[in-house]
Amino acid sequence: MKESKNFCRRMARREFISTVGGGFSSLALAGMLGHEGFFNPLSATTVQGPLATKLPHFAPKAKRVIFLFMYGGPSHVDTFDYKPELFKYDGQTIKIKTFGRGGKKNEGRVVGPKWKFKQHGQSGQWVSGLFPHVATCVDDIAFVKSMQADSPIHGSAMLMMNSGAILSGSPSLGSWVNYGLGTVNQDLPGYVVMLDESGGPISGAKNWSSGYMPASYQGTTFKAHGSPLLNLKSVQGMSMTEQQRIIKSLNHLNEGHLESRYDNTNLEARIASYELAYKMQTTAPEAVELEKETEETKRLYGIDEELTQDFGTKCLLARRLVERDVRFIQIYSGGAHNDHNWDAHGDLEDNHNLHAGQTDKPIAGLLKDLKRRGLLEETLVIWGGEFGRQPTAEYAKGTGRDHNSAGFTMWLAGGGIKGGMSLGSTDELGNEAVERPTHVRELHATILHLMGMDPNHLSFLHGGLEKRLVGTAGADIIPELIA
Amino acid sequence: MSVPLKPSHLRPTIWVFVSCTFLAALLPQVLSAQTATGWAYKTLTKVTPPTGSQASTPLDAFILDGLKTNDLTPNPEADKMTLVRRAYYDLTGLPPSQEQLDAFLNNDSPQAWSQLIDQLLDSPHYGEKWGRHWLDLVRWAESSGYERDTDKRNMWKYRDYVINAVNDDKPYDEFIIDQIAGDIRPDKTTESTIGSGFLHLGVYDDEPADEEQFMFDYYDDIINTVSRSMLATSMSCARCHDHKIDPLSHKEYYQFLSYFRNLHIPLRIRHQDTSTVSIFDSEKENELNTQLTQGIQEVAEPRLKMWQAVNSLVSQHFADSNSSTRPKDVEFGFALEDWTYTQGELGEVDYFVEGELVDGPIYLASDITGITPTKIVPAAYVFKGKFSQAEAANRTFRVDINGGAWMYLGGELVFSKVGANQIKEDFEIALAAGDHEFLLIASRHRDLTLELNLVDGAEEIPWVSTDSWSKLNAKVGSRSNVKIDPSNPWAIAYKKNKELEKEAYKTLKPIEEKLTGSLVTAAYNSSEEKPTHILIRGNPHSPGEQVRPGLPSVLGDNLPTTSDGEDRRLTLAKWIADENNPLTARVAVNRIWQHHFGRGIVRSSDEFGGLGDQPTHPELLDWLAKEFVDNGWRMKPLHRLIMNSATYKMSSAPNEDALTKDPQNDHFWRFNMRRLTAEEIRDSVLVTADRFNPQVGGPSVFPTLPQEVLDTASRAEQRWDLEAGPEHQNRRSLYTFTRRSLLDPLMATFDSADTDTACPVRFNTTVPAQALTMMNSEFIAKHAELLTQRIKQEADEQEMESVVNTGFEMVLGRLPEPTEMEESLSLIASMQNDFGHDAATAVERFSLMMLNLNEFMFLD
Repeated sequence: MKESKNFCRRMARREFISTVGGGFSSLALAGMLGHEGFFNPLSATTVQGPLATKLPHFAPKAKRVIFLFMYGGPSHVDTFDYKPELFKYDGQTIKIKTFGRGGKKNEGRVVGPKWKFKQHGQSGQWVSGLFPHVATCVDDIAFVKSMQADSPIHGSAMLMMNSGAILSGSPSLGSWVNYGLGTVNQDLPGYVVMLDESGGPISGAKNWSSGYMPASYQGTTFKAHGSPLLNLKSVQGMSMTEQQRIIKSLNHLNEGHLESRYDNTNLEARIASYELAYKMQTTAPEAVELEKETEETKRLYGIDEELTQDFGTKCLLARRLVERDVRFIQIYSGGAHNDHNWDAHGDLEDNHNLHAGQTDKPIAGLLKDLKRRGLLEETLVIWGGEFGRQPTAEYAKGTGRDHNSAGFTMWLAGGGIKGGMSLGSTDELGNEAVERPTHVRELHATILHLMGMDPNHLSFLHGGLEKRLVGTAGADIIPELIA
Repeated sequence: MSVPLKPSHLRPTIWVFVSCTFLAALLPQVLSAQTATGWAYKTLTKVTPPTGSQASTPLDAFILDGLKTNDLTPNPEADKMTLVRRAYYDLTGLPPSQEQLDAFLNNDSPQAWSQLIDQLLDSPHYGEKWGRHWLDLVRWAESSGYERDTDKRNMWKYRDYVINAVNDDKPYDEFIIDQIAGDIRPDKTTESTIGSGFLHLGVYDDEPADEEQFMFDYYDDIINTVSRSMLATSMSCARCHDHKIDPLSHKEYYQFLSYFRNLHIPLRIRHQDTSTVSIFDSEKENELNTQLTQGIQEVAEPRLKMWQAVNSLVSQHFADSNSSTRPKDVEFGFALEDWTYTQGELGEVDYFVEGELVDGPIYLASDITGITPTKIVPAAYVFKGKFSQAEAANRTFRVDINGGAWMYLGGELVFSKVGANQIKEDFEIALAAGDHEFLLIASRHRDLTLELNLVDGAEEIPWVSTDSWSKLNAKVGSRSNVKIDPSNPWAIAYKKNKELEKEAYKTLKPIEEKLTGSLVTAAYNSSEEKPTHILIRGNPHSPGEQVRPGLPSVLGDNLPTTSDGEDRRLTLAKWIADENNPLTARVAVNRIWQHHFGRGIVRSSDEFGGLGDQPTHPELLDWLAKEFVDNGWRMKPLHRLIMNSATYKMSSAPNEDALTKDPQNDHFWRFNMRRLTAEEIRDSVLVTADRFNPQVGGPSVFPTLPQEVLDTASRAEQRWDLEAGPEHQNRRSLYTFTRRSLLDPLMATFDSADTDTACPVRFNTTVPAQALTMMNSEFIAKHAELLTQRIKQEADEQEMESVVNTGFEMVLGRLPEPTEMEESLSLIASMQNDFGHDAATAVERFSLMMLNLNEFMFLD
């Protein structure tokens, strides 16, 4: 955004208040303003308003996040959490306490893992046959095998993983990141979400909503095919030069209107927003021009194969967006309901073969491509779902597993993460985290920390409470993961 | 970089780096600061307006007094054009028409202004505009959120109740009693019962992981909404421990909660009737049931015919199947996704369990909620037919399906398979000689492809094949456009079926509405008596001391004694609505002020405690509050009082001297400019394009949304496209169905209220997505075109000056200045000369520009 003609400190403050806080005066900003002046909005001198770049609390290790959301809940015991005992008990009914969609149970029929596990990399991480490509990247990956979440039900668990609370209404992780740090590239949204081709996840827009924060922090859905952003192209097929001509007249009239209202920076901001919108219309399509990529790169992401084409395209887009300083990118594997996503209640093998098959190569391609371009260092990649799955079967017949939030695996790579390691563990059947149980809030705390923010100080005053992503009680980071 | 901040703005920043936990240590200091912040708990007493100024109204006396003290001069009165727009938007949220403008501008009577205000307060649109302010506070939405995001039954009746209450100027104290206890007040009416729907407007998790946690989250949502909307107190802060800043104890939170402890809270309800009450008597119910039965009969016949037609198409497809190895008399049906999952076996569908084959896609469930099909996408396809077996033998079938398949022979399940991926499997069945009936159910997953072949040695004899159905149903879940090969009999069946559904829906819907019209989402007491305990650290599994209903002691000494009785919510409601409650009237008038002036006298209008802002004009606030109560808690007199003041009529123009002394306009030396709200923007576009449907009230509408937006909802297939008729397109934005999992980008981009918690102040952001919406969206393109048509009807089409003049009048209510005329003409000329457009398109571009003007979007 251009520097305001009438810029002076007084104006900056006024605009900031009216733009972000509405009638709240400084209240809504209280959380942000604090912490020894690091979040002083007055330091934002060029771009103003909610998306102005802001300084972090301390030097960040990660500048951007790519969250690969395996919606539906991938089975940890069939992917990365190797449980030899589980193979042995296959088919046997045992006493075991589980809690999933089907309620609380005290016994169940064990379903042995359906894929073989092998150790990979110099660090010897266990990976099942579902992820042969990711297996080649394990020395860059830190696995957290003792994750726990508050709910084993999709709706609330999705909100937990995305917004830190099982209750609907809180801002999502990407919103917090953009609230705390602002947007670097004003020509693109700072927080984009790519949905699965089968549709949005359960709870829809609540997963990328900014909750009680301004809508400017909410995620923007970004499409891998066709025009990437809603309303990016004129439905009337206006050319860019034509649009520019209209904006020229619009600006002229708006500036006439501004003359006698010169102190109102909202009017100015609105004039400037047309310039930004105009730029976005060139920048965003350019960001999705995959023709500019080599065939080798496209193959690396599996774009040449039908099975991996879609997710591969999204991963490659993520890299291109990362290069363009988009702060937070979330890609969904799986959408809609049932077997459209990782929610393998029926046939585990079919379900996971499909979803892992669609994502394994693209994910490995993304990690490798980021690494060879020197982007992985400052790009935090997160993999996981809203929970894992139970070691036992859900029904009398079949291999389907119910949900499990008592123990599951997520992994992180790049962006200040120590590679080639596993943290924590579940019990011998993978049912519950026993060694170093790690809550979703700790994962969130770690993500914010790596981005240069103190998770216990990044807050937003709402309803008389200083709301935080990590909850009012706060959360510790996971120091073991940090390089 | 230091900027002189006023103490009230410094204060919050002090709290920031002191986390809640550490605050405990600071409590003594906090409580001493309390004396400064506790103003809101002081009894409301009569205030005498300052004297000695030239103030024309008592209200102005307060303002002028403050301005004088701070050496500020009030702005002069705004011009009539500004005032009339200000008043229209302020009271109705709509722009004045040209006639309305002219009527006011040409009226030189000294009473013109006050008459205008009276006239606008009588407009039904007043209730819509000011009702919406209330809806912002009460987390208004019409669905529950989470996975199913189920509609709440007839929630629109609550919205209409609010609109009517505002239009009728229902006393605010009575209104409050309706909200909290409308179902149990002794003089209860249908309306008051509907008002109690307030308690159930929040998000609702129909599948809670922890039921106790869910219950207490539900109470907390109510407490939070009640305390912030009516008392401007953040009571939720005391859920886990004593409030760190305000004198509210942990115990008092649970005493307050206990007023709601006997409220029925729905648990694990997956349909619309989470908490519904019938508002009709039995006679009326019977009458409606008769109507319904008739209605269903009326629909039944065409449905049956339709279905026979579909089946005959399918039979034709199998006409050549007279060979002994192929099936005959094949019938075909749909089953919907609303299967009753029985424990143990995924996909055991209820229609089959009951021994009946659904004959069509209309889901007529036995319960009252199922009459309207909630979705029209079939989830399973059913094939029924016969085949002959010459002699007893084992036969092998090969099923190749993407989804799930169940095959029954003579009622016996012989094969079942469910999966996400392609399943290709052989199964062998021993068959006796003779005729066999088979039934094949195929469920969709990613898309439906189904082949069932009889394997005969090396040969595969096709039995049932969906052929090009995969194309037909591609990505049903994501509702991508389905391409149908028109010659395919399956496709014809599919299409006919769709038509049938829509037809039946049209007929059934009014009947459904009649019957379910008796139900409203409202409060009622639970028959179960549950004690209330303090929850240690807010943990529902750590009950502490038992408590009884009681009110926070900070709120006064003469609190009513309350019982644990059935009517305890009424006790609470009456106390909140009592004129001796120090907060209620102050909070209410502060909000009225806020919506007139852009900010409250207390800026933090939901927070009058220690975390909030100080009032900039405490005496004025108290004086207004007292006036409000003395006028019988009616809002209209207060609007008159405010709008007839000189303060309200001031211009919003900048003034260098005042900007230096009071940049935030703390003293109201001018009127605050504001951008239109999301609703006002959309509504104004509709009005300007002359497409505005002024109908007030009624069930919510479903205006067309871009497919890519609908795709993001929790259940993309939910309802929206069933109701795409014109009656849905042009209603006020207030009437668009508010679905929690679906953000209407036009509304959300312009900062509409969040649906999940009270929204006391709308944000006001400026982001490029707004510009993209106003330049490129389908909505704006359509209305720029309509505006152009309207211009052409009134202007001399050949004369571009006339076109521009008309355009300015229609969009801004005024004629263009010479430079504006010049610029507009140059734009139109450039569109024709540089971009080769005809005159009509060129004017359309001009219309588009007009709808993007700051002057259109902002009020002085």
